[in-house]
Amino acid sequence: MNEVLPANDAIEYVLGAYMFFLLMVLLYIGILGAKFQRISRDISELTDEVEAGQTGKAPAATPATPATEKADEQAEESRV
Amino acid sequence: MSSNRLKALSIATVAILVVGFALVFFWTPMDADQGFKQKIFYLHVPLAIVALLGFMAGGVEGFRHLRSGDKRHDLNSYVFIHLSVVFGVAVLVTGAIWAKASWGYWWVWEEPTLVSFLIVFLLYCTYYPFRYAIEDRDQQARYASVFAITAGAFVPLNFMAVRMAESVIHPRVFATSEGGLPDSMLFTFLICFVGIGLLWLLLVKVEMAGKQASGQVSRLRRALDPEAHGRTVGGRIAPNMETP
Repeated sequence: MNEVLPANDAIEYVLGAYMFFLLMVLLYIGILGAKFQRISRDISELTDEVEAGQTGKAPAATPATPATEKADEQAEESRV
Repeated sequence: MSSNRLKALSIATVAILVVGFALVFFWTPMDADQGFKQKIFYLHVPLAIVALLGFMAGGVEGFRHLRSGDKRHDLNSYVFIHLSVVFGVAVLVTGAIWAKASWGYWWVWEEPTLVSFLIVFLLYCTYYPFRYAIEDRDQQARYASVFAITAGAFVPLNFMAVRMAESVIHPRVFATSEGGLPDSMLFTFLICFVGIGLLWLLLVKVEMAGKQASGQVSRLRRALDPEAHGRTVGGRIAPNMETP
């Protein structure tokens, strides 16, 4: 062991190795981030699709009953 | 894994890696033989060990998939192998940099340790084309599991063969007759090893969360429009948490 060796031998190699590792991890995290963004975009598209489908099919799919009509009226009143 | 646990794992990983690398550069004594360039050891060796353990864990998950038929084990196997291949790239590059600094060559073909790792790495690189060449999802998962088990069993055998072979110039520092690493170096090495291991685990968890989310999106698409989206299922190339 020698604790007073100058730290200048092959410093560029050591820094190169650690920098490569750091950049690789950052690149990988960037790729994962892009993947999650794509998934988030897909989910938004699907949500829009579901919402559009619901507004189009709502009258036929859920026929209004007196009870639901009353609940809708109450909800509308409370909103106002 | 919940987002809170993932956050805690991220913080622990970054903290341990920062402490480990700080110890490498500011506390651990300089190696008398190699000097400053020996600092690459604390990055290169943990990466190699974690990558090899990841390959073996991929084999274990492949075995569990074949036994249970549970798709989650196939997904685990795929993600473990994938991350270990990524770490394998880092092992080869940092190893080549260290070799150039120490020996004056980027690569030494006569050295069994280097060549054996390259063989293992190239073997696992064939996992992707092998897997993607099969369109049927169940068949793909089964064949990939068989590959993961066979290659996973090859890793420790290969490691033992290299330990028994006579090293040309690659250093041996663990379990040697000279007593191995001094305590301070061993301590720093263990901190770096834990940090790199946690990084591997963190990336596995994040990758898994992404696969699960994309699987749920595929399921939603199929539920909304089975005719339009059903056709794409067989053509996908990587496993996710889809259920047929």
